[in-house]
Amino acid sequence: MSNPKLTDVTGLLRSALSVNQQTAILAKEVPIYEVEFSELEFSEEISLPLSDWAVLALTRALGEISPNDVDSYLGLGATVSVSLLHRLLENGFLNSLGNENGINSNRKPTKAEKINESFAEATPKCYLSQTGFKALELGMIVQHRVRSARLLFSADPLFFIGIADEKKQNYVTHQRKRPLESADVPKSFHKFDALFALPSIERLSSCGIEATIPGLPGRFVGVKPGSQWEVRRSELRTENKFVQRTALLALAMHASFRDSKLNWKVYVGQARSNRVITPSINPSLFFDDDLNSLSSFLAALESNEKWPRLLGGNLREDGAFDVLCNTEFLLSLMGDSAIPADSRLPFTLGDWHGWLLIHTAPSNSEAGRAAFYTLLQRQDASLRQDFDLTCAKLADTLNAYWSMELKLPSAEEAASELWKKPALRAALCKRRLQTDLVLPYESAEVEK
Amino acid sequence: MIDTTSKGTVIHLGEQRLQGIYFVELPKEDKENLPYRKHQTMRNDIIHVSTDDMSRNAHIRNALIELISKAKHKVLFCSFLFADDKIVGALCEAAERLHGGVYILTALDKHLRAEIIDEPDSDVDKNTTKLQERARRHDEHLGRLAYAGAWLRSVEDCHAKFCVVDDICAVVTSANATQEAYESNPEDGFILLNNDVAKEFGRLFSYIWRHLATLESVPGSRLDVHSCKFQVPTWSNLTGESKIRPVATLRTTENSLLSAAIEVIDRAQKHISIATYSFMNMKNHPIGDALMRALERKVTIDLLVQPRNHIDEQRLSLAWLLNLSPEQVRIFGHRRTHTKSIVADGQTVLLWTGNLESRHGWLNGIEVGIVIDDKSAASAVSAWTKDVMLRHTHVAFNSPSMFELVTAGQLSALKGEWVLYLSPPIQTEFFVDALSGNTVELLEMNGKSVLRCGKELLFDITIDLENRRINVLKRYGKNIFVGSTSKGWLAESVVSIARQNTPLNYKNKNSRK
Repeated sequence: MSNPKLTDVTGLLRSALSVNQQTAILAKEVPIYEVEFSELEFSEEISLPLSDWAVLALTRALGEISPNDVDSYLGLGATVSVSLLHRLLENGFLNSLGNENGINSNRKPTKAEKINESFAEATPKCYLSQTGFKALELGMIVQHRVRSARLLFSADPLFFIGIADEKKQNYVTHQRKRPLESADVPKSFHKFDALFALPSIERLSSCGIEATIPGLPGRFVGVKPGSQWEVRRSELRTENKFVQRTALLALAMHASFRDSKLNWKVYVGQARSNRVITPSINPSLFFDDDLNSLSSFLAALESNEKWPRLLGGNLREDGAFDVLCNTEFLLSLMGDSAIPADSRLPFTLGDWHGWLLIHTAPSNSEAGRAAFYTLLQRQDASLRQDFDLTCAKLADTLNAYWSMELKLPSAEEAASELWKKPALRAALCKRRLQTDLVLPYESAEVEK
Repeated sequence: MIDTTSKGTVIHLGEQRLQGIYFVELPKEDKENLPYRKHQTMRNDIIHVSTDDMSRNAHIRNALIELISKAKHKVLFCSFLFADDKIVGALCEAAERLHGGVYILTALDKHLRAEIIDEPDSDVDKNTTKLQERARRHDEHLGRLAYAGAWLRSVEDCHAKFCVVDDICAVVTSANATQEAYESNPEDGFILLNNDVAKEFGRLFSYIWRHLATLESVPGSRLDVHSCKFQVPTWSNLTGESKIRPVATLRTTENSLLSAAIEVIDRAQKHISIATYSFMNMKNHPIGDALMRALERKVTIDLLVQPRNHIDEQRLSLAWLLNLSPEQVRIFGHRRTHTKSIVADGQTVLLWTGNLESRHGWLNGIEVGIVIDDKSAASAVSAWTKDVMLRHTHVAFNSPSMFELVTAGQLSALKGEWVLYLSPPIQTEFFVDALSGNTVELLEMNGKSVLRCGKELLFDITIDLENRRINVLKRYGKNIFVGSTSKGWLAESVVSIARQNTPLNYKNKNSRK
């Protein structure tokens, strides 16, 4: 797998509408496996059918009901009335009173009039169950569904990536690649039965599957016990060969000195579908280290990196770390922006690549001047408009960003220094145009 | 002369005359004993510089480089062409040293840059490869200048050649910034160490550069030409002292150059020395009128011009001047001359950058010049011009016959008697008129033989030497002379016209032996 790029990771976060400054981002590229389940269970709410609603409402009104009542008051005919009542009994919407000597003990008076004289049976007599009462109140009933589905997972860590795009399956079953032999199936997949049986909140933090699975209707219940599932590598055909598809898995957290517990979110990026797992994820799913608190997170970093101990206790309110840098370090962190901005300090944690948000400042005036020139070179358009003003503005902006009062180069000094850059000479020449070609001749024009 | 005999029409060729002044080249050895000489003005503030075309010592270029290298603030340089490596090097060095401050007016338009090959004011031999090489150098130099920090702009009709350094020194010269101009062509100019004059030229440069430019390439890592448009404010005419005065043609806004040329000519009482690259359409022109007035005052005129026989307007215009008073006018042709000056009585001189042509440079376009009323400065120019005249490469003939041209050393072709067979599409009467009423020249064009009658008529022919027969195949629809070589004049030929009954075609043209 290739190392993830910061631009891809921040792109993923942006597409998931994550606008917060992330104190730390961790990412890795993971191979995708396709797991085909023959029977996944879902519960699905559907609207109560009108005929059912009518029978249940009639039951509530009469207190009890028989096929004869259904036919007499609703006019559905003897056969339909009998079968309808039996189905509602079977589904638990009604309870049977039993053959209690024909006494209508629960019968309530009604002003409703029968619309015909029915010959349907007068038994069984039924009354409204709790389920029936609830269905009548909501106008909805919950149905149990069993579906086959192909879900995409990463194996290390075990994490739900998404569902296979059925529209893209242009092969028939017998043309598909054979599933992996059981020895080749990633070990983490053996936990499916147990994981899927967990309550949805726990299941989410354990493997990323929420109460629902995007793309499949209904609430996810689990795998039907004893049903089959098989695993294949998810592959992509490029230039006449198959390569394993990968997904970008990213974790991000925003730290605050007000809250010692860190809140991690997971983002999953695929070719055309990015998603964010919104509720908090326990990072222990992915890491052996304890990353739940800022101190343990920093300790995990510092044990792995050769950084100077820059970070201890310097967390800013906006979630970035204050870091004082020498020239080399400062320039290496400046990115491509033309104005001072927080940067991302790269690190690794196990096989994860990470970036820490830092707010840099120069540790000496030389570093400050170097940063000034680096940013100034990126403001060619502004320099061409007004060289001196651009220099002054940048100096002010930098000192404000650094919360310092460094003596940064004057416009004159900057002009001399930037001449070494041919691409900036237009700005420098525009700066002197007035002096060279306008002012000397103005007096001559006025005198005439 | 035409004879009509029983055999048909017979035409005697030789006495037919060319219209206007025609130049005949002199043998080269005639000029070897006439060395190049510098002519001093004996003044510290006005220095005459010229191209030493004999030793190839580039005085104009050296002077420019020295001034540019001493620049403390800025250099303003205007030249249509930039094909001289050393002057470009000096400008690049100045831009690097001064951190900008080098402003250039030159040709930037791609179309224009390509047209340099066909520049009408071309000051070198019409050698296509050489000219293409010069255009390539121009392009390459523009890139170098932009990289070094020079700011380039282009004004389409600006033909002026001048340089201003720090507003304390100006150079006005006939020389474009090319190696040929600095080393080979007779060119001259003035270095003017005069703050007022330099500042006026600086003001003019600033106005053209800032307001009239239509293309520019700002300093940067590469040449990046883009269009630009500026507001054009009012221009106040150039001013100067009576003894030394900058003048210019600034489109229709200022034409002090024209007034100055007339003034200098009108001032002459004895002699006028004129040097120009071209001399065209001067009849009924204010300058032509001034020259007529001078001749009426019995002033003598020596005129140095580049001999361009292929330009009818120049031949006619020169003939017009000579015919006004043949005993007062002398015309000298120099193959490479590009210098531009008018000196009256060795006392007043106008040195400028344009040419003696009808409108461009006088009533439109952009040219500059300097008028100096000073004997030493004027004498330096007239003496130097006289040296170039003495080294003239061509002699001027006024409306010469073909026979006179051959006598003067031009080639004679198809001597003796010939029978000329006309292919059916060509009418006999038309052809007889064309042949008898015009000078006839044998050309070789792309391996074919072509008869050129007068200015415009071209006939494709084959020549049968054994049978003394010339087959006229067809008339060319267009006058295309590119790549043609003269094989001589039909100055000693007698041709009988016969008609071919069937069309001649190219298959039997191999009859030339």
